[in-house]
Amino acid sequence: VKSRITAFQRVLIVQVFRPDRLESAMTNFVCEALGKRDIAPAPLSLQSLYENDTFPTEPILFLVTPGADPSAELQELAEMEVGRAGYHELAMGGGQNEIAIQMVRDAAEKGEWVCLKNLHLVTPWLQTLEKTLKALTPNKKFRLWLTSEPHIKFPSVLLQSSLKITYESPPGIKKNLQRTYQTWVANYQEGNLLKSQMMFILAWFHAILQERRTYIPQGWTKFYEFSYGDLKAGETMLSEVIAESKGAMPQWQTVYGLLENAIYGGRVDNEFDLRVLRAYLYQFFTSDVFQGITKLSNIIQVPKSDALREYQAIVGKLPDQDSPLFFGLPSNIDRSVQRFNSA
Amino acid sequence: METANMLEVLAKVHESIDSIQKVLFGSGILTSKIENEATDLLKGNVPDGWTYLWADGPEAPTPWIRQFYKRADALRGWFDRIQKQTLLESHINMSDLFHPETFLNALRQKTARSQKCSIDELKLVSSFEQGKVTSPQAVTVVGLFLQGCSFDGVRLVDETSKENQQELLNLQNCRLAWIKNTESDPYSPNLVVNIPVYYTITREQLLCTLNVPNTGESNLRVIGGVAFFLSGSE
Repeated sequence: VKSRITAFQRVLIVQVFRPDRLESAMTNFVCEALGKRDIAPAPLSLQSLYENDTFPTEPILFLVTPGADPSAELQELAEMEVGRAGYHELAMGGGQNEIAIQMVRDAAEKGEWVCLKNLHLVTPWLQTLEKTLKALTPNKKFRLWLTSEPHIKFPSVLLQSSLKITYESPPGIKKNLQRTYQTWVANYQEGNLLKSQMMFILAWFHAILQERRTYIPQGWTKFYEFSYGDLKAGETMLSEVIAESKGAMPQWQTVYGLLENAIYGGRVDNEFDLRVLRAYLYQFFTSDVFQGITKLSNIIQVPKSDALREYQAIVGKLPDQDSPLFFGLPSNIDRSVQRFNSA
Repeated sequence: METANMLEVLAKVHESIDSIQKVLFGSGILTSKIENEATDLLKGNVPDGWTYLWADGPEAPTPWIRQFYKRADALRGWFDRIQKQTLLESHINMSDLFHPETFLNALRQKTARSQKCSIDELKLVSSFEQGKVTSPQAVTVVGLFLQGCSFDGVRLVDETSKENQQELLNLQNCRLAWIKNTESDPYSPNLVVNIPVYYTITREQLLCTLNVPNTGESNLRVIGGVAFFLSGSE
């Protein structure tokens, strides 16, 4: 049959007879037609973006989906490029318009960075911002970063004059872990075995929680906004727990409590989803996993190593396509998800 | 109660369709209400006046009408059985009902009355085996669906065959009853896992939770997103 019908006809046939496989068929079709191995783009690097594509006179606008927040990564980049003192951040929407204008003027003069967040909350004011920008003759190092959710009243002039970047996370555990390790590379400290292991487990836990959102409503009942901020908070918190335990296994109850009640669990409002979160915690954060007796999600053995390269190698070997088994979900769940998406 | 409600919805739907039709054929006058309802239907939404009467139905009008019809039709059977006083002995399919939670509550109140206790003293128990739930007020529920793992007739078990297994399993009869908090559960608590029961596979509305016997770790069932549904469609 394959030789007698075109690739696109194949997609059509799949749509008619097996709507629950349509998504895979379409992905295959696109890969074949474009000759690519994977349809998801390579992870975005703010650094190369900054070096190659940005200018002082052109604001950089991140179009974000709710829950995705580039500002933490931006801040890290800013610390490297202009230093902590040279980076100013302001979340709009609370009568700070005047302050924002002043901030932009000062920074443009001194060659510092400004990040104005949530512009969709202050669309009427954006024309004022636009005029201010036009009137500036900025320092060479000045950059204006903006974030906004898509909004119908966003002025088109400002849109046209900015570099637009959509910021949403490409799917898949592998991409997710790569993203996490990419942000960790700069400050990664080797020499603490327990910490390296703990960080890997946290990254895995984070990836599982985020990527489980592919499976709605079976996995999570809704799209919870687990974000980079949660990962960051988890990292800080676990580092402290490890420092306190002084080389011994940490107090698991403390870890569970903090991650469940203080960080990730705060986003979950459904009792059954909370149960899922708890079950993951009990599975991943145990001494057995650290000692390599139990594998993470039954597939990954946490290495007894503090070397960054070793962890990156493990992540690199993961398949591009997630299997529901990573999440502990039944293997036939794909069918309902694909049918859900094709409808 | 259900029947009166059903008739009200039917009257409402009939009124809307009838008036739209009259306008179309030129024998009626277009009012803003009719216009709104017609626009809603054209856009593929269920008009507000309809959802006001039955809020838990599907979002698109065609399945909405279909689901409504299915329930209205089934209700005639319920009505018969109520008049013969055989309702609670027969097999009950809760997806026939517009408001399954009201049915569960009614059963709870009835049980409380015959046991002469308050409804707070009652808990819901279930079993798929004969002879485990023996309360005289027990009912037999049919047509539950299971998603997330397999079932061996009594217990939840791991999936057996990997590929091409149906995602939804139709379960056999389940005995359901309210019993006093002080009475013992049909199964010991460390053998069961607490499973949510939703109206439909969209998991938007929760009816209750049931303790179901399980094999293996209960955490794995939780992570696997195992759940029951009254109805196997949206």
